[in-house]
Amino acid sequence: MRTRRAAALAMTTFLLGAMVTETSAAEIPFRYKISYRNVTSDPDRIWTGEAFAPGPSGTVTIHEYELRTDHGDLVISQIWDADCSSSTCPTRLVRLVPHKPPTVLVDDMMHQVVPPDDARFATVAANGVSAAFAQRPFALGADGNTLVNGDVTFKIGGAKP
Amino acid sequence: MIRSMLRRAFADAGFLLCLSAAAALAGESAASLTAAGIPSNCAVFAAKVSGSEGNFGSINPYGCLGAFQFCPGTFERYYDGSARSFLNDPSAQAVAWTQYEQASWSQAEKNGMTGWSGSRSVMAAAAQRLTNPPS
Repeated sequence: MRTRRAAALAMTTFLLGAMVTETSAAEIPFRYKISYRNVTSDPDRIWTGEAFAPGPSGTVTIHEYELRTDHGDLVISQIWDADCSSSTCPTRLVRLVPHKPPTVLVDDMMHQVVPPDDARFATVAANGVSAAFAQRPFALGADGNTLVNGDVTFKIGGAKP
Repeated sequence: MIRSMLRRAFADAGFLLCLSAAAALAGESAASLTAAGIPSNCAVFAAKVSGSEGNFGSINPYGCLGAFQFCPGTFERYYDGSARSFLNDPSAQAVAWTQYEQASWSQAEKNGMTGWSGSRSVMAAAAQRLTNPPS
């Protein structure tokens, strides 16, 4: 009886964890692309002008994730700069078309990512509930019109003015 | 039998949720924060912040760390070591949080917001005042 109860408890815990952190099977996760650390400008020109706000060091860090679709490449760029709050940072979803400026589809504050290239987070990222978000911080919603970032969603095309 | 197991499983799940929520919100006491190096005149405030954030060893699903839940980007600005060493080092968390608060105050000063210190504000009224200034 004790074994059965333990098994039920373990299964419930697993299911709850999955509900909280896992990307739905119908969602399409973005893949990590690249990080630009301690840069004085954005090499991909997604962050320019007032949107590029370095801290006292004069530099920022940018993390990018990508998703290739039939309609072009989608890139998510998160900038770690002076405009970050304690838990979120400015993040943009853009569509990239060769030889044209990026088209911004979503522009909002989103959960700070756990950089997969950062050894300092290696043990934490491999640990339990934070692992799922670390591996897949962004996903295209099942309807194709929403960006999923952990427990929040953003309407694509609904960027703030 | 299955219904009984399900009922038991949901009861256990509820208990676990309550337990984890309580653990997550318990936070560190003013005494433990003072011991970690938080200035004593800030300890009560720091304990209230920690109460809504976590304990020294807390990690949330987004990789935010410790008693003040330093998320990865913020963490990078205020600590040089690994996430694991940060979680195991209350003193480092005290230093990082103190620096973070000082930086936040500097930012508020830079934006001319510190003059509001001590005053009571109502957001709706403030918005009305900003959009409809008295002539």
